[in-house]
Amino acid sequence: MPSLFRISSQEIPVAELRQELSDPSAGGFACFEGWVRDHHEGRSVERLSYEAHPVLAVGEGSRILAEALERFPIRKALCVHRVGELAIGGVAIWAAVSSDHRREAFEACSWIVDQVKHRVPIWKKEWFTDGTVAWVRCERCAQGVPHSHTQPETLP
Amino acid sequence: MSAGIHGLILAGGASRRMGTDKAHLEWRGEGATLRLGRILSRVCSRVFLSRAPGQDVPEGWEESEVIRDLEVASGPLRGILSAFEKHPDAAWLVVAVDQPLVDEALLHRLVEGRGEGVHATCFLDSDGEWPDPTCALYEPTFPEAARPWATQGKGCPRKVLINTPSRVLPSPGAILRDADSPEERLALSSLLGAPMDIVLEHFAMVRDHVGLAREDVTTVAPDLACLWEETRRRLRLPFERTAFRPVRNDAFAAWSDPIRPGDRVAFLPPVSGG
Repeated sequence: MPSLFRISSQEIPVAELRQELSDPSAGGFACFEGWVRDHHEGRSVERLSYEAHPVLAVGEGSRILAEALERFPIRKALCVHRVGELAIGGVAIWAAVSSDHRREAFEACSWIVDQVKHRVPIWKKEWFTDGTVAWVRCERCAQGVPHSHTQPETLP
Repeated sequence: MSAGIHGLILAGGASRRMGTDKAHLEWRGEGATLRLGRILSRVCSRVFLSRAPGQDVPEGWEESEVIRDLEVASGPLRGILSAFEKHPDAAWLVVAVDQPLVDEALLHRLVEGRGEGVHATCFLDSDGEWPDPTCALYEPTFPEAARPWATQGKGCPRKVLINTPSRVLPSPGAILRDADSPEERLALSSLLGAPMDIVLEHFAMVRDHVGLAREDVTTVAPDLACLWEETRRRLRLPFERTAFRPVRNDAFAAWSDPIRPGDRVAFLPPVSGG
C-alpha cells in the first residue's frame, strides 16, 4: 500500500487521489489545495521550488496522518506535497480527509496542513520578479511565536 | 590514620553552555560518568554521582549511588559538601564529569601525594596558575574549613583551597582541561579521538551556501553538537544552531548523539513547506 503521505516531483493528480478517500461510511470529504501565489510579503513572485529530505519527509508526514486518524473520528486521510519547480497557480500541497460528518473533516484537514507546514522537512525557495531568490523562513520563527519544530501543535 | 576514600563525580550542573546534560555525553564511545566511575573505582572504595534534585539517573547508575545536592553553598562546593553530609568520615576524591582526559594514573598520583594535616590535596590547574578544585582529594576536615564560604553562598572550592591549608601538587598540564561547551569538547576530542570518515548531506539554504548536496568529511567530533560547531566554522555557516535539527542516518537525532564511522549526517534548516 502506498504511504498516506507522498512527495511528488510531478503535478499532483487531484482527481485520482480523491478516489482514494472514498468510503461507504463517509458522508463528507474536505480537501485543501495550497496554490502558488504571485506575491509574498508585498513582493511579486515569479515562481518557486520545493526541496524535501526524501526519507524524513515521508516518515514525518506519515506520522502526522497517523496522528490525525487517532485524534479525529475520520475515515481516511491523504496528503501529497510537491517538490521541484512550480509556476504561479500550481498545486504545492494537497490534503484531504473523508469522515462521517463534515465538522471533523474540516478540522482534521486543517490540522494536517498546519502540522505538515511546521514539522515535515520540506523547504520553499522563492524567485521574485525583481530577480532575487530567497529561502522562506519558518512562519513561526519569522513571527517570533514560541513553537516547536518537532512536536505536534495543540488545537486552538 | 587517614580516612578511607570515596569517589565523587560532579555532574549536577545545568550544562547551559554545552546545551545538553554533560552527564549524558560520550567520550571515546563510553559514557562520561561510566568512564570516570570505572577509573575512580580503582582507587576508591565506593563511587558516587553528584546530581541536582530532579536530574535523572544516567544509564548504568542506581539512585542509591546518586548524592542529591542539598541546600548548602552553590556550584561545585554544593556537590562536595552534600557528599560530606552523607558520609562525613570519608575523604572524597572529586572529579568533574567534563574532564575527559583524567586517567587512572593521575588519580594514583593524587592519592600518593596526599598531604598530612591539610583539608585537601589538589593539583595546580592546566595553566599552572591556581589550585584546581576538581580532580582533588578532600579530607573530612574540609567542610569545617569551607564553612565561611558556604554560609555566604559562595560556590567555588578554589577559594577554600587557596585560603586554607591544602597540599598543592605541580600541574599535570592539559590532562586537567575540561569541556564546558561544544567548542571546548571539540578541542579536547582532537587530543583524544581517532578521526572518522563520515558523509555530510546538505539541504536547502545550507546546500546553496556550501554549493554541495553531500561531501565526505573526516572529523574527530564525538557528537552532533561538536560536528555542528566544526561544520559551522569550516563552512562559515551564517546560521544559529537553535533553529536546526540534526539528522543521523535518515533519522531525527539529538545534539548529544554520538557519531560513528560511516554515518550520514545532515543539519536540517527550519522547515517551510505548504
